Amino acid sequence: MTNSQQQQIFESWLQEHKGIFFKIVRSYSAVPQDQEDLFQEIAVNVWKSVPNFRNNCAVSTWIYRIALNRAVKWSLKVRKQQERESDEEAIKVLQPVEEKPDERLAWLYEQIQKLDEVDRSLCLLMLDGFSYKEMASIVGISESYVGVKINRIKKHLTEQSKKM
Amino acid sequence: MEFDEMKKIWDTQSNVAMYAIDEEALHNRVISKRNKAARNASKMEGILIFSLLFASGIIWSAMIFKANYELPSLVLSGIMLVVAGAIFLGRRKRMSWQNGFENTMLGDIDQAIANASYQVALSKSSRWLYLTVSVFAVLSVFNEASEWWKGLLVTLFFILGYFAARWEHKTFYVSQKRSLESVRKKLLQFQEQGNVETGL
Repeated sequence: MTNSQQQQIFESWLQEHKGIFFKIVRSYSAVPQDQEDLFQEIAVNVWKSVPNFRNNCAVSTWIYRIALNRAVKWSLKVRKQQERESDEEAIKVLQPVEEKPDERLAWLYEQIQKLDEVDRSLCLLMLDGFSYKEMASIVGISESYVGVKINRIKKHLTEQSKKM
Repeated sequence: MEFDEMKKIWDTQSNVAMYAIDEEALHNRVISKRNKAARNASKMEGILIFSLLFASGIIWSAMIFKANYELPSLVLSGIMLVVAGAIFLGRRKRMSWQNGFENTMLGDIDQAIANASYQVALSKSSRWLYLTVSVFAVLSVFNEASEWWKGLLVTLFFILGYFAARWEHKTFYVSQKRSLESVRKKLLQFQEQGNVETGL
């Protein structure tokens, strides 16, 4: 695969599935400068993964797998780094363009951010309508365990919504 | 709220961009990193040159005061002066290529990486200098001190100092260079996406 072919495929993926990028970025990082950093990391990793895509799953599944993997690693790394970051790193590069913030959506993101890394991934996949089988393959746990975890997450979110 | 309702709220998110890339902010970040790398390199050169001249001055003062010109002290002082001179020349060379980079975002980050690489090399050389100085200092203490434990304490002090210098090298200088290289990679990525004009 040539560089330009890789670039072309990546651009079409980004165009078609940018929602996945943004949802993951927003779920794994609450602070704008972190969102920007994570977005760039995910974009670079998805771009690198293009030649390895073998059409044995949907593109969205592939992107979720790469992006969630990166996001989990990033969030573990960022915890250690955050204390060392200097003020100048706080310059914002990604600017939110959302005009009317939906409060209920913001609440939902807030709740997702509070979940641990694996539950966060499962919650995103569940909300985006992935099957248990697909979730198990992306996250790397058994299908039955996905079922158990999903039930717990649903229960947890419903309980939290009652406190709103 | 039931889960189905949450799903509906989730699905209301449009697929349009939630973020836009602020090119000016990105460029400011690059410039800030470039300046930080140059400042750090200058600071390190200054500290090294001052320390070497100061230490050499102390050795000379002691020799003049005691009227005792020992060969190890003369060699050590000479090494310090030569290294201080080499750092000064290296600094002049570094300053001369500072303006050789393109006036673009990529040029700025390349300049920062060049400064960081220089700093990594300087830090590595300093560790060798430290080892040389340590050997002379330890030998000198073992020659002069009557109790063996004094020599052992000085040796331990230098060993600890060496490991601290190695830690500093990896934690600050090498990681800064890696971070700059990662920013460069991201810039190229953005450029490939057509979002940022990096000057390529």
